[in-house]
Amino acid sequence: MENKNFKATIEVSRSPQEVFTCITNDVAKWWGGKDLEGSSKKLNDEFIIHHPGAHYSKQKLVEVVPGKKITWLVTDSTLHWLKKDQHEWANTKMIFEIVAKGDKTVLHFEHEGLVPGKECYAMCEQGWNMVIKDWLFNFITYDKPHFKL
Amino acid sequence: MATKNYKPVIYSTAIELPGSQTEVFDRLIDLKKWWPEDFEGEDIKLHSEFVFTTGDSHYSKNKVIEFVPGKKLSWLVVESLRKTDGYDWTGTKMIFALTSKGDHTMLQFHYDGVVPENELERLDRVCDMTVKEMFYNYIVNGKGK
Repeated sequence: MENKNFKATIEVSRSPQEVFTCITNDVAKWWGGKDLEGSSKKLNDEFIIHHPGAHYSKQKLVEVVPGKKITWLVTDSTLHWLKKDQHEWANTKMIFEIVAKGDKTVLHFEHEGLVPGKECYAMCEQGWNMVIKDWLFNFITYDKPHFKL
Repeated sequence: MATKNYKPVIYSTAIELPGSQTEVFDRLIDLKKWWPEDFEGEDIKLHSEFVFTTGDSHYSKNKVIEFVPGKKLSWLVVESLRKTDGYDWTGTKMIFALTSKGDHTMLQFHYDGVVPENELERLDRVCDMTVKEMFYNYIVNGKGK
C-alpha cells in the first residue's frame, strides 16, 4: 500500500545532473533565501533555515547519489505557528529522486513523515506544492528566481 | 502621477494563514524578510518611510499611513519609477487587513491604485505571488528571498 507522505512530482527539460546540481548547490535560491546558512552539497553537510518567529529547520544530508538521489534528514525544527507540537518536522526526511525520461528529467519529491495526521500537514502541503512546483521548477528550468516584478 | 495610459484599479486577494492576528501581523511587518524586493528604511510603524528596489530597474518610496497592530497595515507609494518605460504608480496604496478565522487568520490584501492598461493580468499575478506565495511560505514552509 502506498504511504501517505506528501509527494510532488515535476518534469523538467534539463538533464538529471543539472537537476541534481540545482538541488544541491542553490537551495537558498529556490527555498531558504538569505536566511539559509550552511552547505547542502555533500554527504553529512548541514544547513539551517531560520526566519525568526516563523520557521527554524536544520537539515542534514544523509544520502547523496550524484545525478540520482538526495535525502535530507530534519534534525531539528520549530514551526512557530503550530499549536500542539512545534517540532513536527523533526526526524522527517525530504527525499529527492531524479529519473531520466527521454530528453527530460522527472523529479520526485517526498517529505517522509509529513502525513495527514500531523497538524502542519494541510498548510505544508499547500506550501510545498508552491515551493516545488513553482519555485524549484522555475529555478531548474529557467535558472532564475520565479518572481519577476 | 497617473496619466491617461494608466487605469485606476483595486485588486484584492485573500489567504488563510496559521497563527493569531498578532503573530501574523508581527511577521507581516518584517517586510525586509519576505517582500520580494529589496527593502531599505525604518522599522515599520506609523509614518515610517522605506524604499523598495529591484536591481536598477524598479524603485518606490513608501510611507506607512495605517498601523493597527494585529489588524491593519497600509502604506502609500509617495515616489516610484520603473526605468524601462517610466511607469509611475505614485499614489497607490497597499492595504493589509487581518481578521480571525478560528485559530487562524485571514489576510486580505488590496492594491488600490493605478496600473498600465495592458498590465492588469500581470498585476493580479504579482499580487497573488507576493501574498500567497512569498508571505504564506515565509510563515508556513521556510521560504525566504
